[in-house]
Amino acid sequence: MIRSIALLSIFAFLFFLPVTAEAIFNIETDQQTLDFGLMAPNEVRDNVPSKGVMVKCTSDQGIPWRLRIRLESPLAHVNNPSETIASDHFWWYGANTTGIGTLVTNENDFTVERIVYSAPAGEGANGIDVELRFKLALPPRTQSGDYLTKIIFTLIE
Amino acid sequence: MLKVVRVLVVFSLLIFPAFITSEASQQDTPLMATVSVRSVFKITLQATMLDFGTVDPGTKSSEKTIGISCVTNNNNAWSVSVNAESPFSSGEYEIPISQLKWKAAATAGTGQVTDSGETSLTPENFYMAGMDEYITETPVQLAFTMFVDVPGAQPAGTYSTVVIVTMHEE
Repeated sequence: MIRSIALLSIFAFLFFLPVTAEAIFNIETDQQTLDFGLMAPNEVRDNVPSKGVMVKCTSDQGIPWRLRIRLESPLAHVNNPSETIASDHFWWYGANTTGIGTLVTNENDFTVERIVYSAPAGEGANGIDVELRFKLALPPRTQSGDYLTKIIFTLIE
Repeated sequence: MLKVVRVLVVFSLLIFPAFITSEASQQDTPLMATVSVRSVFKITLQATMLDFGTVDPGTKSSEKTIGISCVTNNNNAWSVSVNAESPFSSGEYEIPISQLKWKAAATAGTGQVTDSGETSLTPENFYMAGMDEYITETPVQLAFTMFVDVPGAQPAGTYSTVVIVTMHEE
């Protein structure tokens, strides 16, 4: 009887241990830098990069998820950060996807965070690719030099 | 005893899923974005020759005005100067270059203008850009007027020189 109770206690304890399942919920890009190269004031450069930026989204949660995009801050001059290129001169658009969800394909500027892709429930366990391209129009009054910022992609359920 | 075990197993199976926890439901990844903006620093003259025509000794020529256009995006202080390469000469004769006089005005600019002066062989600033012109959205436009004050005993001849207008930044 005592032996049985002991075995049952161990059995019950093992089952009552909290278990943390490692969820797959991941986002990654196929490149680290989006480089518009050398541009002159007033110049517009579209379809950058020509092969697109691939964003791979993976989720095994089985519930709908979204890919969002935003700028950390406006493009800022490396040596004179007060000189910036306004975010309404910088656009993104979806070019392609391997998913069955909704991809935003019209041009959107970076003035606010926006949804790029909306996935239905159950999509993305093996990962889906979202291809994005970018456009930049330099204002006529733009200081010469190098400008830098970060584009932040967010995968959210 | 068997009943107790069954109850515990069923209870454990019911409880078990409640202890499975998932990770955060938001993930971020950054992509660096860069652009290099080309340096623009340019001065344009609307004419490349000033012809004062025929002038009698001891008189002043007619005034000739040329437009000057300046653009930059270097965000540095800049100015515009004028000088002559050599005296006004015609063979062995010369008109002192100081007799070539100028007047300046800004038609689209907020900097400091030196209204008038005499040309020399060394550059003299006649326009100092305002701070809001260190990066120009539209060109700074200057009107630069020149005339010659021909001395009274000047021998006849065709006199010429080269005038240099320079835009320079500090």
